[in-house]
Amino acid sequence: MGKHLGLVAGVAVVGLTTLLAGCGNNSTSTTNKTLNLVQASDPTTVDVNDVRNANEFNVLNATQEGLFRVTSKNGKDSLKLAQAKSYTISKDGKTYTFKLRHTKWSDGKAVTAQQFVDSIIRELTPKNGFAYASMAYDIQGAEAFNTGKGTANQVGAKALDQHTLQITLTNKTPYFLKKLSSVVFYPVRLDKINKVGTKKWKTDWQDQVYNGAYKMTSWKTNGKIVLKKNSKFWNAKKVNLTKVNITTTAKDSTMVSLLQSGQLDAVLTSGANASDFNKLASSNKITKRTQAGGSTSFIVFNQHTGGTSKLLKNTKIREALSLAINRNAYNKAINGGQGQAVYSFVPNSIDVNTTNYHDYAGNVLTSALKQYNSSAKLQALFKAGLKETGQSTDLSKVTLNYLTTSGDDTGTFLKQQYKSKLGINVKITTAPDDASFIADRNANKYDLLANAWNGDYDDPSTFLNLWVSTGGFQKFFGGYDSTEYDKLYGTLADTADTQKRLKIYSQLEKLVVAKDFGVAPVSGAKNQIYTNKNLKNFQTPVFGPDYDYVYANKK
Amino acid sequence: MLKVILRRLVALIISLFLIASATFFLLAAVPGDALSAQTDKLPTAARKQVYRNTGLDKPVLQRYEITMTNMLHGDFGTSIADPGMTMHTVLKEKLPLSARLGLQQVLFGIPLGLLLGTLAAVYKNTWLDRSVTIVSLLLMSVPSLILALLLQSYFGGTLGWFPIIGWPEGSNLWLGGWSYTVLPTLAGGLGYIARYARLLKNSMLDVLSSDYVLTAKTKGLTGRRVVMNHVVRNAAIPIITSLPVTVAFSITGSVFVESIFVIPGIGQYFVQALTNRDVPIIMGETVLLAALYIVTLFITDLLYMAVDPRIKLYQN
Repeated sequence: MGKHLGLVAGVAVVGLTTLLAGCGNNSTSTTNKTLNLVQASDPTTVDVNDVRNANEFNVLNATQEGLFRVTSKNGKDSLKLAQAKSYTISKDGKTYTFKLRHTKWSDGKAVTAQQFVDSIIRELTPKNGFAYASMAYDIQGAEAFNTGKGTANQVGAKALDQHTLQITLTNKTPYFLKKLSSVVFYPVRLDKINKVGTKKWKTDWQDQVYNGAYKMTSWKTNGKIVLKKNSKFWNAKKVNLTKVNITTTAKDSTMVSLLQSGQLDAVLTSGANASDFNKLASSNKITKRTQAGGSTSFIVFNQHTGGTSKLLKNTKIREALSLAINRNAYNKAINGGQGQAVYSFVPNSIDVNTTNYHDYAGNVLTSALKQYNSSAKLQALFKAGLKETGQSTDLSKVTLNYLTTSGDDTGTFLKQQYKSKLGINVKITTAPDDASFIADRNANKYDLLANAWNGDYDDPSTFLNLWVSTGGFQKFFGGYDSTEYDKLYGTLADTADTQKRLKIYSQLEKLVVAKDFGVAPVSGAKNQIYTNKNLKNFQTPVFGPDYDYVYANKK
Repeated sequence: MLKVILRRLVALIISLFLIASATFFLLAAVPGDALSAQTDKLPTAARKQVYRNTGLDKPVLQRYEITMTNMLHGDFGTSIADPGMTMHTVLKEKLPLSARLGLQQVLFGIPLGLLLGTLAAVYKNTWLDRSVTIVSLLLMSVPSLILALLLQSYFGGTLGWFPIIGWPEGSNLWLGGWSYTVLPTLAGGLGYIARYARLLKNSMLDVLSSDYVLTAKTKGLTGRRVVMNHVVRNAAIPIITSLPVTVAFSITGSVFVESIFVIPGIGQYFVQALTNRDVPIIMGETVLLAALYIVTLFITDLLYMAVDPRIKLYQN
């Protein structure tokens, strides 16, 4: 038996020495040609037509390229020709003709106009079920084809020759090019996709071909993605960084350690998480920049059924609920003070053509907030609403059901706000995961829930088309349904003039936010961007991908 | 012996069938599925199409039949969230990473724990005993999550001695890239030290105060011989019986350590499969873990017999 004890001690010592022998060869050196980034989770797809989440836009923006590339300076996005060499727009504003550059895919095959057409058709093909199909609805015949009422050859996208692409729209749409710059419209290689099938193509990175600045050379889920420079990219001589590592981690403390030690070059953060990075602001190796985001967080009121309380179909009740929220307190409690209190729905960063929309429209909730500036007035408003619905006006008997998934403080905040200002109760229902949340929401088992919307392109319509009753978004956003709104929105179709559009947009916003109180916008995102000091021209567009490093360099 | 093994094998198959069925129906009973979040934004017709593409539109019983038949042929199906991934590729790509992590933790933690436990028992009520007790109590109370974050930010971040994240792959998969493995091994291994030190100390103290040890001492045996010949063997029973389960489950991954140090192992993947309601992967995972557990219990029973001949596996 003596031997055994000796063995045990021996193994322990061997274990220790082997571990210690490992120290010292710390080989995570970063060169000036390598960019290190992180992503919170793995992309669910690398199929451009199937894209839905920010991290997928980020990767695909680097590996593939469309007609235009979004460039961004000081929080302002603009379009730059990319795969397109030039374009013309017909007099009626409906026909766009693009001349393509003579570019190549990573396997040496030519990029052709037909591949752009294929992408639009594939995006719209009903059986593919792609989430962003509606992005293409401005194109003639697109909606009909996507909803099974038309055919693919009625869609207004044609290849006139190998390098000329023509797209015809239903209406004059002044912001169409901004939309068209989206990853969703990047060209696709049907010859490759048909070989493996759409289902597998989604995550099959080994079979992908690339027309962008980088090629994906490795992808380990929960590990990292490695991109290497694509030598076949048309503008390859302007691409400085030869390798990009994108590590999957959602832990702020890990990112802070990585940034401090120079093993991470950039992080974009917002909301409550941003405060975890505050200690980096004093570092002399890191630059911090703040930029208005393109998203709005809001409280959804269930107007489908009036909710579990049956009260939310009443406008006065919704008005009281919207006005009772102290937006500054919300921003402090939920975003750790790192976001922005908002009193309108369209974010500050949005322009119409080149005019800033918010400067024109102002805060639509201000006058209502002034009118109901005390809790007595708000309670009276709520009681008036209760009377209209024929319910008892005893506020303490009112209970609203707030539905959430785990890890959300908004419910607790609303509970406290509504109790102190309106004297009503909020019950928080926590669904264990997204799937159960969706099931409960679809069954209308809620009065209130929190949601947010990230604009897809730089125009108020990406926020205001959500409230059109037939648009399909009301499933998530409470079921606001107003014929007045729908009609007014419809007039945008023949309006191209910027001033007129500004006016219609602001009328629409006032209608849904400050007259019908169909939704309560509460906060807007402010992104904090931390970058390694030697990283230059690392862009952070407001719309589309979070960052664009294709032409970035390290000095 | 053969009879015992056969009997256990039949029990194993029946258990696996019951476990698989229960898992399947429990998953089916919970509202929502793998596609709910993915198809949430789609128009109704498109959503139906996506369900048809994956076969999730079929009635529950039909899906159950398909799943069970495929499973009989060793096919758990393709992941819904991550098309192209099957149980086979998951095991091939991810298990080795978790296995090395787990084995390193066990090889580092358990021997050291046993050594400290023995010392604490032999030198009872001395400073050594007290420090071992306090340290192991502390290590047992701190979850590996916290320990991992602390180790990472101090030894990886502030001091920069070890890489903050990453794990050896490719040619370094089993032997190499040691510096990457230090912090993750410590994060999980320290817990084993604590657990096994306490376990062995307690069981040795029991044995040390028993009559036959007293007899051995009165016979005039030296302290060393008493410990070696009488105490260690008897005190080892609880250790030997808990070892197989520890080792088996160490290789199936640890969610926290893997996610903090960005190790693309199997532990994280399985938890993700659960939150994604990725039925094929969850079924594969459940069956695998259940089989592992049942087999390990059987091995434990055999070890019991070996250590203590008084214990019998079955009565004729």
